[in-house]
Amino acid sequence: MFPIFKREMRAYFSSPIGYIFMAVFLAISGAIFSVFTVGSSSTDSSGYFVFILFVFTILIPLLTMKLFSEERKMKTEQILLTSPVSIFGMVFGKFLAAFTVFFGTFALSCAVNFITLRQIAGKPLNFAGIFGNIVGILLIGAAFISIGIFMSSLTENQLVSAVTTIGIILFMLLISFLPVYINSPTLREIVRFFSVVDRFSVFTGGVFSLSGISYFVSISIVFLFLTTRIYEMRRWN
Amino acid sequence: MNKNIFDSKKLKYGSVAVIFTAIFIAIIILLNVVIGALETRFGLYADLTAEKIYDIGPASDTLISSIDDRIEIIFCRDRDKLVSENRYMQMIVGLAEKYATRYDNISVDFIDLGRRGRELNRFRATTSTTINTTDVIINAPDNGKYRHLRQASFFSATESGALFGFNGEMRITASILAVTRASEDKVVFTTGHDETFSSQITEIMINAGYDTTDSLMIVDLAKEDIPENTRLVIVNNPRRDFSGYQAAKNGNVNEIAKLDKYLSSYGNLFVLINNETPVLPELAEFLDTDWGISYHTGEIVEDVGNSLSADGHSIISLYNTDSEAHPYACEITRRITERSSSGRTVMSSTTPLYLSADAPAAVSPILQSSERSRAMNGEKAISSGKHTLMAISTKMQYVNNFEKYSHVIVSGSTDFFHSDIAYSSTANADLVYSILKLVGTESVPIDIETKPFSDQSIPSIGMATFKSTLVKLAVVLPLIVLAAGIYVYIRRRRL
Repeated sequence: MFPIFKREMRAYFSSPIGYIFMAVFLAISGAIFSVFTVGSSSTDSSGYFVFILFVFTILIPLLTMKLFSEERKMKTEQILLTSPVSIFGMVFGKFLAAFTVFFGTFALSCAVNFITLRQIAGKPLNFAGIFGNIVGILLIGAAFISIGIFMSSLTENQLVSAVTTIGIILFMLLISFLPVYINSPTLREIVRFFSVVDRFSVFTGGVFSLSGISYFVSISIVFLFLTTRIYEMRRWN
Repeated sequence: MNKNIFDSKKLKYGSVAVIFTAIFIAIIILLNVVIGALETRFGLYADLTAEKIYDIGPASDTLISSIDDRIEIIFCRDRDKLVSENRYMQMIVGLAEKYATRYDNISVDFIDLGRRGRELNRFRATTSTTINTTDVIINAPDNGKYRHLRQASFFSATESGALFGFNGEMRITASILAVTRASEDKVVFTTGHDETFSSQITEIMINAGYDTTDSLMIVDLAKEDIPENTRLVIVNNPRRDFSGYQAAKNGNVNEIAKLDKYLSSYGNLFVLINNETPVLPELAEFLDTDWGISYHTGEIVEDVGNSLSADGHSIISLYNTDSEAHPYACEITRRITERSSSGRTVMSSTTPLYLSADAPAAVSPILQSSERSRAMNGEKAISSGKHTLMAISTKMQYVNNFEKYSHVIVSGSTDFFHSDIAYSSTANADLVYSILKLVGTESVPIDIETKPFSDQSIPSIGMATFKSTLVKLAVVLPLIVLAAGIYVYIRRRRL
């Protein structure tokens, strides 16, 4: 797994993709943060965290679209499938590389943003609440990356991979708007159960929720599992 | 020879793989449902709010733990709609669920007004009572008592309506105590003497658990008697005198006699006057002769070195801490003085009170001005030194070997309940709660504070600051990263 991880990390930073991702992420996140906090003369960053979720729709597919699609296109996936690395190790190594780039970029943006805000505000921020939100965002990022990896494993076309990932992420974000139109409380509960925004809004409300954490971790587990199943099927074929 | 398709390795593995995958996903979903249920049941979450909105403090815990009655906290809308509506309802629901998690006899129920409105009809006190979707009902099904709370009562607001604090813990605890109380204790405000009423007084009483028309009453002593179970009678800023002995001789009702009779039956009286209170002979004589507290019309305490205002009239009061000589006075201020961040009690436009050592009661100052203060009448200084701003006079009787008390508390300021004073960072409201606790039963929920929302505003942010921040965060840093990327890319191309 670790050689796969190292290889992918090298690939991110020896090509423009990693730098473009970081630069675009930092630019958008910095702009949104400035508007929601300094621009609103407030230290309340909950709006920023919710908005950044929708930015992931575009940015995360950027990270994940080539992970497996390129291997299939370049016919190098046979090398991977016949290597001593387990399929799960291969999948997880790639996931870890994408997550590391995402984590590093997000951590850098949070550090710069909140230190700047603290200096401007001249008073302590609620770092416990901010920490809770950051953990929530990282878990959602991991979940979206796992979705992107799964979609990338289904096709050799990077564009198709990116677009389908965008579609699924958008769907998971937008279903939070559906319950307004649903009369049945049971159905609403089911929809909200799967709604990423509703799950995350608990974090922005200052509650570090175990069920929210388990939900986001579960999405990662399920899609990584499905990706592993796909490759196991291909191996048998 | 035809192969049986079901013996196909591909299909076998394929179908097993699909089933296995489906089972795995089902297990994951089930696990999440179980974790969600456990979280609700055992409160498996951390409150990371700066204000600790979802915490139940030791004061509430002490009061609620002693109650065995079943309590239902009923919301009038489906849960998911309530919490998605706004963060304020999310706070109330979250806190109520915390109560249900911690105490086995407390449960939370969501009865949607639109779909199951009939079930809520039993909580309409009259046919004209409205129930809103954001209302909360605290119900004790075993004794039929309930409290109907509006969303606004869970928050403290300035006069302009801006919310500045969350009162959820106090409201829920006070309501639970109120619906489980054996008898309906009352607080009575007198009327008929041009007294002053304000929403701030009402809110303090409601927060203390006197939140119904049966527990918080206005009584005209000229026409009515003081009801039974009245714990405290409040005379707030009277501008006309009470009728006394002379009135009785003329065939009118003797209001002073009613007060005296009430106090003789272990009642309690809280009188608020100020420097503009006119001469009220009957009331003044009653307070002076029977209880040892008097005032002089037109006098005002000026304490320039110890005041929030330049004229010295908004005095930061000094607490009486001599608990041996003045136990009842110190009992009122003890909860404030014992706190690490002891609040200030601000008395504004205060007339000095004079205490008589010869009174047939134990008289003590509760609040005083500093040694540098003066009592003024117009431009003339009447006296200098410490002046009493609030006093308590106590009579004690033995009844069947039990000590029974009656207290008369006089405040030299009626601005005690002024909105700016009661709701800023002063301890004025806490002092009133202490008085209620002293005169009432154990079930007044003091020591439960409003949780002020942290001030998240950043003052003095100009456009220049915003622009420089925007450039720094959204342009400079990304450009640095891009430059690094270009450098690496060019180097690799050259290799």
